[in-house]
Amino acid sequence: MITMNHVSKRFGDGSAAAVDDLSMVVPDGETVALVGPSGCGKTTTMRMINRLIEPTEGRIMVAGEDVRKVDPVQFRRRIGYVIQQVGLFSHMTIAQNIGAVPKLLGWDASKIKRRNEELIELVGLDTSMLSRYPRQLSGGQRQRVGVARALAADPPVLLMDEPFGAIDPIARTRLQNEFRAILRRVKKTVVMVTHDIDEAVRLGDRIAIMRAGKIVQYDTPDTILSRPVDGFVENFVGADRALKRLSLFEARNVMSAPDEAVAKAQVSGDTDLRDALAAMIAADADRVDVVDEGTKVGTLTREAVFAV
Amino acid sequence: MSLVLDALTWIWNNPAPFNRALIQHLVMSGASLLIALAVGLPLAVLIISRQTLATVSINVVNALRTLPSLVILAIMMPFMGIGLAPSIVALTILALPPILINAYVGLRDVDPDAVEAATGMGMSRSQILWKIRVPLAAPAMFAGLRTAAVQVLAGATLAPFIGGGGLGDFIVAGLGIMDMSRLLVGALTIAVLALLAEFILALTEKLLFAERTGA
Ligand SMILES: Nc1ncnc2c1ncn2[C@@H]1O[C@H](COP(=O)(O)OP(=O)(O)OP(=O)(O)O)[C@@H](O)[C@H]1O
Ligand SMILES: [Mg+2]
Repeated sequence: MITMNHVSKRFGDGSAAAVDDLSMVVPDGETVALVGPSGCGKTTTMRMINRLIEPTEGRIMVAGEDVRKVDPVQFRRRIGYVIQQVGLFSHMTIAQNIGAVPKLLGWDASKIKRRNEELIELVGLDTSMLSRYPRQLSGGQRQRVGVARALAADPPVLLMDEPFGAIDPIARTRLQNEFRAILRRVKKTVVMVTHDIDEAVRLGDRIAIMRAGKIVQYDTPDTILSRPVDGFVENFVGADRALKRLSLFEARNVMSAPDEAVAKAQVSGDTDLRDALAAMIAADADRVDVVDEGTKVGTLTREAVFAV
Repeated sequence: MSLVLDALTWIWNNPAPFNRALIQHLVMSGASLLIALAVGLPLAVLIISRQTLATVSINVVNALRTLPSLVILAIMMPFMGIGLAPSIVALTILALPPILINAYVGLRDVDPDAVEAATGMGMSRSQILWKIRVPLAAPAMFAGLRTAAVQVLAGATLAPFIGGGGLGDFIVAGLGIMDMSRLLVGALTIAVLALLAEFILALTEKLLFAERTGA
């Protein structure tokens, strides 16, 4: 659990607060997405958690420990960190980059090698990349290496500053889904920064919308999208928030028992309602069959979609 | 052209004095480069996290850099007399500025994102210095060595003025007896040495750092 208690940060006396009396609790195993306009204090908030920045006021606890009281060097080895500019070590190979924290922790070479291979595949790159140097990779590939490096020692806490920012939309969605799958398997407490509200909705158990150093709304994606607290949040999440909200639900959880009729379109059980609605519109139908492994398991009606 | 030929013939006919001067020149230059590296690199590491010390050292070294080589040699004489040792000291002073300044700037201007990532993953200050800063600054340090090597090989030409010997002896002798071919024995050899040093060091630099620069 990460607890931020009335935390403020001022860079230099008298300057405006970059983070202003911010309080937030990130429960164990949950992912919180920090979103907000440029300069609103997202990176600063994140860097205070692993003590790269000392708060001017307030207290931050990670796993029951006050971060001011721990040895920062040891403490940071248990926190995966993806910086906004990736920051790969250009004099080290990709393998050495990914294996940096395991090496600090004293893992033996064969274990590091196995872990490197596992991770490079996890982020969708070929193992042949391991012997390359960062300059020999594209920006998007480097960013994936940055994520792999943060995951290397399997830290219980992850801080990620725009981890998928430079990756093309298709690979990005795939990586987000992979990442969500990883998070389901291994419980991690994650704070991630993003500019992309869709990414926040896809990955966040909770979303914190920030503005000028303060959290304007801290809620589940469902609540943020259905009940934005003010015009700022409403604007930020976009006019299509009702559609975005549909992507939070899967067809299998909203469908009714299969009926006799054969609908004009089919979706699988894990299709989200936004895509299912799109399928209805495309087929000009008011219902779709939900089919898993060749068997019709339910029927999803437009009324049911509209009712969520 | 015939002067060059005369010079080469002289070298061919007088291998012993030529070799002695060449070796003196190389020993003098090599020793001063090694000392400058041994002093300059640790000093750069030492001052990287000490702002005042850094400012003082860089200013002192920059002041030294403005002094002409001959002046440095002349200043040595009252303190150390004449011979090889004062020449080496003078040449070390010549080699120190490029080595120290390149190393310092290289260490200081290391990619801040790499340092941030290293700090964030839990490297200690000394680990960041030795595993990140120093290797990332290595190309800059090498560039400093390259500049220093060429300067020292050329600067050693003046060593005869304080009895340091070396290839400059032929230039001084050539001037004394107005024998241009003798002068060329020294001048040409020094020019070739400087070019060769530049070429070899550039090649080494390429071999050492090619991979990481993605060439
Ligand atoms: N080291 C620093 N010194 C002075 N001011 C800083 C420093 N770091 C950040 N700031 C200021 O604090 C504010 C918040 O910066 P921060 O980097 O947290 O924004 P951000 O929300 O991450 O923005 P972006 O989305 O552009 O990355 C900005 O006004 C910034 O100029
Ligand atoms: Mg930022």
